[in-house]
Amino acid sequence: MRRLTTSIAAVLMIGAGSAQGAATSDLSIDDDCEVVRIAGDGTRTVTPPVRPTAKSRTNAGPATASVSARSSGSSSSSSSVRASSRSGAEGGSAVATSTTNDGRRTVTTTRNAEGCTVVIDERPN
Amino acid sequence: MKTTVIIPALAAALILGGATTSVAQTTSGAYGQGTAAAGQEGAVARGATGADASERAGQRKRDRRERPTSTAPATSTHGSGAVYTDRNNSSAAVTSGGSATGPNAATSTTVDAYGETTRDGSSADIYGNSNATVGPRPR
Repeated sequence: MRRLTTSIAAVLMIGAGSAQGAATSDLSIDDDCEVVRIAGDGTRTVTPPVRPTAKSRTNAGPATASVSARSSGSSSSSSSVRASSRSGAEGGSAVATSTTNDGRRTVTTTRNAEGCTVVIDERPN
Repeated sequence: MKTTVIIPALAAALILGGATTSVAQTTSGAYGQGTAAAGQEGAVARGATGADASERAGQRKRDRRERPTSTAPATSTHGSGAVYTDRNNSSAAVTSGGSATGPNAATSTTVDAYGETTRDGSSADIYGNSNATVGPRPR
Protein backbone atom coordinates (compact mmCIF):
# COMPACT_ATOMS: atom_id res chain seq x y z
CA MET A 1 0.00 0.00 0.00
CA ARG A 2 1.37 3.41 -0.99
CA ARG A 3 0.60 6.56 0.91
CA LEU A 4 0.43 9.97 -0.70
CA THR A 5 0.49 13.02 1.50
CA THR A 6 0.01 16.66 0.73
CA SER A 7 0.34 19.48 3.24
CA ILE A 8 -0.72 23.06 2.94
CA ALA A 9 0.05 25.93 5.26
CA ALA A 10 -1.64 29.24 4.75
CA VAL A 11 -2.00 32.61 6.37
CA LEU A 12 -5.08 34.55 5.44
CA MET A 13 -5.66 38.22 6.03
CA ILE A 14 -9.32 39.07 5.99
CA GLY A 15 -10.28 42.59 6.83
CA ALA A 16 -8.82 43.52 10.19
CA GLY A 17 -8.48 39.89 11.27
CA SER A 18 -6.12 37.13 10.34
CA ALA A 19 -6.23 33.37 10.28
CA GLN A 20 -3.47 30.81 10.11
CA GLY A 21 -4.16 27.32 8.96
CA ALA A 22 -2.63 24.06 7.89
CA ALA A 23 -4.17 21.09 6.17
CA THR A 24 -2.96 17.61 5.41
CA SER A 25 -4.57 14.81 3.49
CA ASP A 26 -3.40 11.22 3.09
CA LEU A 27 -4.51 8.68 0.54
CA SER A 28 -3.53 5.01 0.46
CA ILE A 29 -3.22 3.18 -2.83
CA ASP A 30 -2.71 -0.51 -3.57
CA ASP A 31 0.79 -1.34 -4.81
CA ASP A 32 -0.37 -3.23 -7.87
CA CYS A 33 -2.18 -0.25 -9.38
CA GLU A 34 -1.06 2.07 -12.15
CA VAL A 35 -1.40 5.66 -10.95
CA VAL A 36 -2.55 8.55 -13.13
CA ARG A 37 -2.14 11.90 -11.40
CA ILE A 38 -3.88 15.02 -12.65
CA ALA A 39 -2.32 18.10 -11.06
CA GLY A 40 -4.17 21.28 -10.29
CA ASP A 41 -3.05 22.80 -13.59
CA GLY A 42 -4.30 19.78 -15.56
CA THR A 43 -0.89 18.13 -16.05
CA ARG A 44 -1.16 14.31 -16.22
CA THR A 45 1.54 12.02 -14.82
CA VAL A 46 1.41 8.23 -15.17
CA THR A 47 3.28 5.99 -12.69
CA PRO A 48 3.48 2.21 -13.25
CA PRO A 49 2.57 -0.22 -10.45
CA VAL A 50 5.11 -0.71 -7.65
CA ARG A 51 4.43 -4.43 -7.58
CA PRO A 52 2.52 -5.44 -10.69
CA THR A 53 0.48 -8.60 -10.55
CA ALA A 54 -0.42 -10.90 -13.41
CA LYS A 55 -3.63 -9.93 -15.11
CA SER A 56 -6.35 -12.46 -14.49
CA ARG A 57 -9.62 -12.91 -16.27
CA THR A 58 -11.12 -14.96 -13.46
CA ASN A 59 -10.16 -13.07 -10.30
CA ALA A 60 -10.50 -9.31 -10.32
CA GLY A 61 -9.58 -8.97 -6.66
CA PRO A 62 -11.06 -6.68 -4.06
CA ALA A 63 -11.54 -2.94 -4.35
CA THR A 64 -10.21 -0.87 -1.49
CA ALA A 65 -9.79 2.78 -0.63
CA SER A 66 -8.73 4.68 2.44
CA VAL A 67 -8.45 8.37 3.05
CA SER A 68 -7.71 10.80 5.85
CA ALA A 69 -7.74 14.56 6.22
CA ARG A 70 -6.62 16.97 8.91
CA SER A 71 -6.78 20.71 9.20
CA SER A 72 -6.01 23.30 11.84
CA GLY A 73 -6.31 27.04 12.14
CA SER A 74 -6.84 29.91 14.49
CA SER A 75 -10.41 30.82 13.58
CA SER A 76 -11.93 27.94 11.61
CA SER A 77 -11.15 24.46 10.38
CA SER A 78 -13.06 21.93 8.35
CA SER A 79 -12.34 18.52 6.94
CA SER A 80 -14.37 15.76 5.35
CA VAL A 81 -13.75 12.32 3.94
CA ARG A 82 -15.89 10.27 1.60
CA ALA A 83 -15.24 6.84 0.13
CA SER A 84 -17.31 4.37 -1.85
CA SER A 85 -16.53 0.89 -3.08
CA ARG A 86 -18.39 -1.50 -5.39
CA SER A 87 -17.51 -5.07 -6.34
CA GLY A 88 -19.18 -7.62 -8.56
CA ALA A 89 -18.43 -10.44 -10.93
CA GLU A 90 -16.73 -8.15 -13.45
CA GLY A 91 -14.50 -6.37 -11.00
CA GLY A 92 -14.73 -3.43 -8.64
CA SER A 93 -14.17 0.26 -8.22
CA ALA A 94 -13.46 2.50 -5.26
CA VAL A 95 -13.63 6.28 -4.99
CA ALA A 96 -12.11 8.27 -2.13
CA THR A 97 -12.27 12.03 -1.62
CA SER A 98 -10.65 14.16 1.06
CA THR A 99 -11.54 17.81 1.51
CA THR A 100 -10.03 20.41 3.83
CA ASN A 101 -10.15 24.18 4.10
CA ASP A 102 -7.58 24.44 1.37
CA GLY A 103 -8.63 22.02 -1.30
CA ARG A 104 -10.08 18.75 -2.45
CA ARG A 105 -8.50 15.59 -3.81
CA THR A 106 -10.38 12.70 -5.37
CA VAL A 107 -8.96 9.25 -6.02
CA THR A 108 -10.75 6.70 -8.20
CA THR A 109 -9.55 3.10 -8.23
CA THR A 110 -10.81 0.68 -10.87
CA ARG A 111 -9.93 -2.99 -10.69
CA ASN A 112 -11.07 -5.50 -13.27
CA ALA A 113 -9.72 -8.32 -15.43
CA GLU A 114 -7.42 -5.86 -17.21
CA GLY A 115 -5.68 -4.77 -14.03
CA CYS A 116 -5.84 -1.88 -11.57
CA THR A 117 -5.79 1.83 -12.35
CA VAL A 118 -5.86 4.73 -9.92
CA VAL A 119 -6.70 8.27 -11.01
CA ILE A 120 -5.80 11.08 -8.60
CA ASP A 121 -7.55 14.31 -9.46
CA GLU A 122 -6.27 17.41 -7.70
CA ARG A 123 -7.94 19.95 -9.91
CA PRO A 124 -10.03 22.57 -8.15
CA ASN A 125 -13.70 22.38 -8.89
CA MET B 1 -29.90 -12.82 0.42
CA LYS B 2 -29.43 -9.15 1.00
CA THR B 3 -27.87 -7.65 4.07
CA THR B 4 -27.79 -3.96 4.70
CA VAL B 5 -26.47 -1.84 7.52
CA ILE B 6 -26.70 1.89 7.88
CA ILE B 7 -25.24 4.13 10.56
CA PRO B 8 -26.33 7.73 10.69
CA ALA B 9 -24.70 9.64 13.50
CA LEU B 10 -24.56 13.30 14.35
CA ALA B 11 -22.75 15.06 17.14
CA ALA B 12 -24.55 18.37 17.36
CA ALA B 13 -22.74 21.66 17.37
CA LEU B 14 -22.00 23.21 20.71
CA ILE B 15 -22.03 26.95 20.98
CA LEU B 16 -21.04 28.71 24.15
CA GLY B 17 -21.45 32.43 24.44
CA GLY B 18 -20.34 32.90 28.01
CA ALA B 19 -16.84 34.10 27.40
CA THR B 20 -17.48 37.58 28.66
CA THR B 21 -14.18 38.29 30.34
CA SER B 22 -10.73 38.43 28.91
CA VAL B 23 -9.54 35.56 31.10
CA ALA B 24 -12.35 33.14 30.32
CA GLN B 25 -11.57 30.12 28.21
CA THR B 26 -14.13 28.20 26.24
CA THR B 27 -13.35 24.78 24.89
CA SER B 28 -15.56 22.47 22.92
CA GLY B 29 -14.94 19.30 21.05
CA ALA B 30 -16.80 16.68 19.08
CA TYR B 31 -15.93 13.23 17.89
CA GLY B 32 -17.71 10.63 15.83
CA GLN B 33 -16.89 7.12 14.75
CA GLY B 34 -18.76 4.49 12.80
CA THR B 35 -18.07 1.12 11.26
CA ALA B 36 -20.16 -1.16 9.11
CA ALA B 37 -19.54 -4.57 7.61
CA ALA B 38 -21.73 -6.92 5.62
CA GLY B 39 -21.04 -10.43 4.42
CA GLN B 40 -22.83 -13.53 3.31
CA GLU B 41 -23.61 -14.56 6.86
CA GLY B 42 -24.88 -11.26 8.17
CA ALA B 43 -24.03 -7.70 8.93
CA VAL B 44 -22.55 -5.77 11.81
CA ALA B 45 -22.44 -2.07 12.52
CA ARG B 46 -21.02 0.03 15.30
CA GLY B 47 -21.09 3.73 15.91
CA ALA B 48 -20.19 6.19 18.59
CA THR B 49 -20.29 9.93 18.92
CA GLY B 50 -19.34 12.28 21.65
CA ALA B 51 -19.07 15.95 22.38
CA ASP B 52 -18.04 18.04 25.30
CA ALA B 53 -17.78 21.65 26.21
CA SER B 54 -16.44 23.49 29.19
CA GLU B 55 -15.73 26.97 30.32
CA ARG B 56 -13.27 27.82 33.03
CA ALA B 57 -12.15 31.05 34.50
CA GLY B 58 -8.57 32.12 34.30
CA GLN B 59 -6.31 31.77 37.29
CA ARG B 60 -6.27 34.55 39.82
CA LYS B 61 -3.55 37.04 39.29
CA ARG B 62 -0.78 36.64 41.81
CA ASP B 63 0.69 39.99 41.03
CA ARG B 64 -1.20 43.07 40.04
CA ARG B 65 1.48 43.79 37.50
CA GLU B 66 0.84 40.45 35.82
CA ARG B 67 -1.08 40.80 32.61
CA PRO B 68 -4.36 38.90 32.34
CA THR B 69 -3.97 35.50 30.75
CA SER B 70 -5.66 34.81 27.47
CA THR B 71 -5.79 31.76 25.24
CA ALA B 72 -5.18 32.17 21.56
CA PRO B 73 -8.07 30.82 19.53
CA ALA B 74 -7.34 27.48 17.93
CA THR B 75 -9.32 25.03 15.84
CA SER B 76 -8.58 21.61 14.44
CA THR B 77 -10.48 18.91 12.62
CA HIS B 78 -9.67 15.45 11.36
CA GLY B 79 -11.33 12.61 9.54
CA SER B 80 -10.40 9.22 8.16
CA GLY B 81 -12.17 6.36 6.48
CA ALA B 82 -11.66 3.12 4.64
CA VAL B 83 -13.82 0.88 2.50
CA TYR B 84 -13.30 -2.65 1.22
CA THR B 85 -15.39 -4.79 -1.04
CA ASP B 86 -15.07 -8.04 -2.91
CA ARG B 87 -17.76 -10.15 -4.49
CA ASN B 88 -18.95 -11.55 -1.18
CA ASN B 89 -18.07 -9.02 1.47
CA SER B 90 -18.03 -5.33 2.18
CA SER B 91 -16.73 -3.28 5.08
CA ALA B 92 -16.53 0.40 5.85
CA ALA B 93 -15.18 2.48 8.70
CA VAL B 94 -15.00 6.20 9.30
CA THR B 95 -13.91 8.60 12.02
CA SER B 96 -14.33 12.33 12.24
CA GLY B 97 -13.71 14.87 14.96
CA GLY B 98 -12.79 18.42 15.76
CA SER B 99 -11.96 20.82 18.54
CA ALA B 100 -12.11 24.56 19.05
CA THR B 101 -10.67 26.73 21.81
CA GLY B 102 -11.54 30.37 22.24
CA PRO B 103 -14.54 32.67 22.53
CA ASN B 104 -17.76 31.39 20.98
CA ALA B 105 -16.16 28.09 20.11
CA ALA B 106 -18.31 25.66 18.14
CA THR B 107 -17.74 22.24 16.64
CA SER B 108 -19.86 19.79 14.69
CA THR B 109 -19.20 16.28 13.47
CA THR B 110 -21.11 13.89 11.22
CA VAL B 111 -20.26 10.30 10.31
CA ASP B 112 -22.07 7.77 8.16
CA ALA B 113 -21.06 4.23 7.22
CA TYR B 114 -22.95 1.86 4.97
CA GLY B 115 -22.35 -1.65 3.69
CA GLU B 116 -24.42 -3.96 1.53
CA THR B 117 -24.00 -7.42 0.07
CA THR B 118 -26.32 -8.91 -2.52
CA ARG B 119 -26.11 -11.89 -4.87
CA ASP B 120 -24.74 -9.52 -7.52
CA GLY B 121 -21.90 -8.14 -5.43
CA SER B 122 -21.23 -5.80 -2.56
CA SER B 123 -20.88 -2.10 -1.86
CA ALA B 124 -19.65 0.12 0.94
CA ASP B 125 -19.81 3.87 1.56
CA ILE B 126 -18.46 6.13 4.25
CA TYR B 127 -18.75 9.84 4.94
CA GLY B 128 -17.30 11.95 7.72
CA ASN B 129 -17.39 15.70 8.17
CA SER B 130 -16.16 18.01 10.90
CA ASN B 131 -16.21 21.77 11.38
CA ALA B 132 -14.70 23.89 14.11
CA THR B 133 -14.97 27.65 14.48
CA VAL B 134 -14.09 30.32 16.98
CA GLY B 135 -16.06 33.54 16.99
CA PRO B 136 -14.80 37.07 17.39
CA ARG B 137 -13.51 38.11 20.77
CA PRO B 138 -16.09 39.77 23.00
CA ARG B 139 -15.64 43.52 23.45
